[in-house]
Amino acid sequence: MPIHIELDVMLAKRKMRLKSLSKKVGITEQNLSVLKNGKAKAIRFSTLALLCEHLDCEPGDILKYTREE
Amino acid sequence: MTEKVNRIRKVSQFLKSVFGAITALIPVGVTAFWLCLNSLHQYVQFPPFVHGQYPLSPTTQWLGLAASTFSVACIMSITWQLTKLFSFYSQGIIFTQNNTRCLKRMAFSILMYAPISVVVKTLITLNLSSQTTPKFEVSVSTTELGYLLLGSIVMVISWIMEEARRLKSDCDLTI
Repeated sequence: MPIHIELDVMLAKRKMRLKSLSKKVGITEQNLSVLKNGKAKAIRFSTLALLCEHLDCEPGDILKYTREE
Repeated sequence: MTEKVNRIRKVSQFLKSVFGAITALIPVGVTAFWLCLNSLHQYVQFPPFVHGQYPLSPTTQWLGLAASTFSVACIMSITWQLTKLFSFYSQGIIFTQNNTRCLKRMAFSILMYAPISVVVKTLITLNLSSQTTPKFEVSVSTTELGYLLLGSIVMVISWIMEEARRLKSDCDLTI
């Protein structure tokens, strides 16, 4: 999958744990873990907006595109 | 949504018990049929291929039972898959690989039942007529065509449920 989720990088930068982010965003820790581990197939805009709001970042800080060769 | 799933679970629990009982009773019923055929034929109207010279000898009865085992095995396979399928539904497991596997196996068993029933009817006719003039008769009726049609329908349903499973998997992995 050429899109990579760098949620763990943002969590480290903001010194936040996955558990507290999941409580703030209103998504289960399990689902956030699926996202963090790159197993998610899609992300809703509403979820992305909430993540950006609570991590104080842009979508591009969480989603990275890597060209596959 | 939860109310609808609960309704599925309740009805499936009942159907699981029904098909489980049918699976267990089929071999008992067929065995009893063949062993009691000499007394039953006076009171019950049987299909033409079961007509013979009564009373039947024990050998004829046992051979008839042996021939019937092929169709019994097929029918038991169908009812067993139904029991498993409704068992999954009663636990709220609706869109999974196991469910589609049950449907595919059921479709295959139904499709196989069409030629098996033709062969079994031929064997039973031959067996029952062996006491007088052996009669070799292959009969194919609209019933067999019906099994083929039903099997095809169930196969298509299994493909659709496989697509539904894939869609649910995508939905579950959409955060």
